[in-house]
Amino acid sequence: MTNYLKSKYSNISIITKYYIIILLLTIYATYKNGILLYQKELINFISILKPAFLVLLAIFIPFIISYIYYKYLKKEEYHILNDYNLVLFPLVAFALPLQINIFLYIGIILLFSIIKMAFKTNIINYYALMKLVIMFIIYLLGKYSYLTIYDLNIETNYTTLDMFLGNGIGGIATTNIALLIICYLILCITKSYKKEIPIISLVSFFIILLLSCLIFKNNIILDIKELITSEFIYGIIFISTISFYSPIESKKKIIYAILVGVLSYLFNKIINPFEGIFFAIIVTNLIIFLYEIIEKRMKNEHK
Amino acid sequence: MKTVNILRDLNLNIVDNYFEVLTPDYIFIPIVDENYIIIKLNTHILKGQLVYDDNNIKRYSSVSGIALKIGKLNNKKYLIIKNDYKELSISKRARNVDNISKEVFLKYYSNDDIKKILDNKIHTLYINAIDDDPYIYNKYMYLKNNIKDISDIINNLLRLFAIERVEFVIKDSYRDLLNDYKININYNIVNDIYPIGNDKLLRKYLINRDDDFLINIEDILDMVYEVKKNKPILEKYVTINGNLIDNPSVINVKKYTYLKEILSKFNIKEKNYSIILNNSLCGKNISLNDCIITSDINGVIINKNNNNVKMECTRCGLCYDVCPVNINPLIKSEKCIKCGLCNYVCPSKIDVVKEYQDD
Repeated sequence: MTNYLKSKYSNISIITKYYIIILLLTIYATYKNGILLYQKELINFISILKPAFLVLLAIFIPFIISYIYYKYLKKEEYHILNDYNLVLFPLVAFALPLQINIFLYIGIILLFSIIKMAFKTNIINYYALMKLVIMFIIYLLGKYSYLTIYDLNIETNYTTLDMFLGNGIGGIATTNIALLIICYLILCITKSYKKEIPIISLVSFFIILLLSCLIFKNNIILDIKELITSEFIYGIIFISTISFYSPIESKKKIIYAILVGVLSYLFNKIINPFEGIFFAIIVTNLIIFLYEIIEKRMKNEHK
Repeated sequence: MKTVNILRDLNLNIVDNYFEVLTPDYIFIPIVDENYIIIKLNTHILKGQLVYDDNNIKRYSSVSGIALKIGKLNNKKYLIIKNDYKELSISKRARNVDNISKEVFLKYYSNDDIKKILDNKIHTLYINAIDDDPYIYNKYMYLKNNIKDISDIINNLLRLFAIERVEFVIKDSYRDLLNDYKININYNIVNDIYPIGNDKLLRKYLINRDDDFLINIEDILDMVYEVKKNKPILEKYVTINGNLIDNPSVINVKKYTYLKEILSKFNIKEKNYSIILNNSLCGKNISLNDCIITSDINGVIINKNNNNVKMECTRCGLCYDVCPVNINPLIKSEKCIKCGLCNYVCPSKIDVVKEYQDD
């Protein structure tokens, strides 16, 4: 309870914007991975709802865990409207392949919901880690693929414009770069959204890409097509900017964004352009954590 | 400078209501060591009479009456004087400052820091007349009520010292006040943003020459009393405001009045309220029975305990973005000026100053 003057701005207004974005992305995912496939008679009617169902699960499971945690373990009031988990878990769900095994999906969300409650730390981006864990298990099971039934049935390559407008290969709702830009603009009107991170990351990614093309004499257009995926754009807009795991101070924010951009290029090249950004975010988290430890020690020595 | 327009954000109005509460039943003069009380108990005391003097602190009685006893309030000692309402005072004549000399001015004025400033050749002497809280309007009222005295002192400063220019620094909403000042001063109008009234920040914002200086309107008021009126300051402007106060007002009260007595003049809308001192964004919470009006109390804010739920910090960084001294409010720092802007903007409704900066 507080009695000081407070601005009207609250977590609820931030989370509401995320819900709007989740709604937009869910509608798009249902259209792309449901209605379109149904019209082409590639799936049955019930399967139209699969993207929405996955999103609802990503809201419902963390809700149950948070509710139990606050109500029965901490014996505090649970404030559903202030719970960031309910909007951040769906954001990870959007970046997963549509063909994901539903039991694996439920299991991992359940596991990470519990881990998030048990180990409250800002060191590693749990959401990026969750995506990587899921994809790693899928890889181990030999089912690693972002292709939908439609993608498997077409014979022509996607054009760049196709990819921009959503006809690309990727997660449930991450393929439409135009829609992602709209979502970014919506988030930009949120005061607390760290809007500079995606821009700096993208610019540093481009600089590294240009430099490597100059040094190794690669075809720049091919590199851009291959490495700048909608998954990367999605990652820098939504996952790298999650406030809990990104720095506060301007200097550290810039270092973080540059590292995310540079490392994304490296991981996109070395591993693959779908998971590269998530690896980059986690490695950057660790670098920033080490940087903070060194900074603290130096300050103490200085004192 | 990173600042926030709280008045506009919360649609707050200037407090333009003024009245006097100058007849307390008792006054409570704070004392540290009983040995330095220089009057005898159960004797009659005059208004303006020195009653406590430990070489560092001098305290004068703000009423005439009987020195009753030494009492305790919240573990602090006070000399309690019962008011006889006769206002019998030590008679001292006001000085005619029209032709006062520089030496005489400096002899009667006691603030050494300001004297040091006046020793310099000054290009612009800025006078901070901005209240340092969105709920407090004491300086505004000083300007409004003391036109003649302030004008006299400014004229004398210009005449006696090497000052080229005097500039009053006021907020946009105070602008009309200065139409009444018939002296050769300029004014510097700044936007209604918080915490522009903080001396340290205002100095950083305004002063870009070595021979420019900033003093406070309260320093001018000290000059009015010490040099012109020739008497100690026995009264104090205090703003009573807050979301439970029906008629927010700046009041002129006798120093050492019991706050409970003052608040009885106000209609507080709810019974369950909190009292905050001096800063509506992060000031100290006090109990009604503990507070005596001393020179360091500028505002008493009566707020209801709001229903904002305090959530865990999301590390959104808004507190860092607005911090006027560029520190990370989530890490304890000596540079913190405790303006409370981080408290104000926090979307998780955390009292950042209390949790991270207070000892």
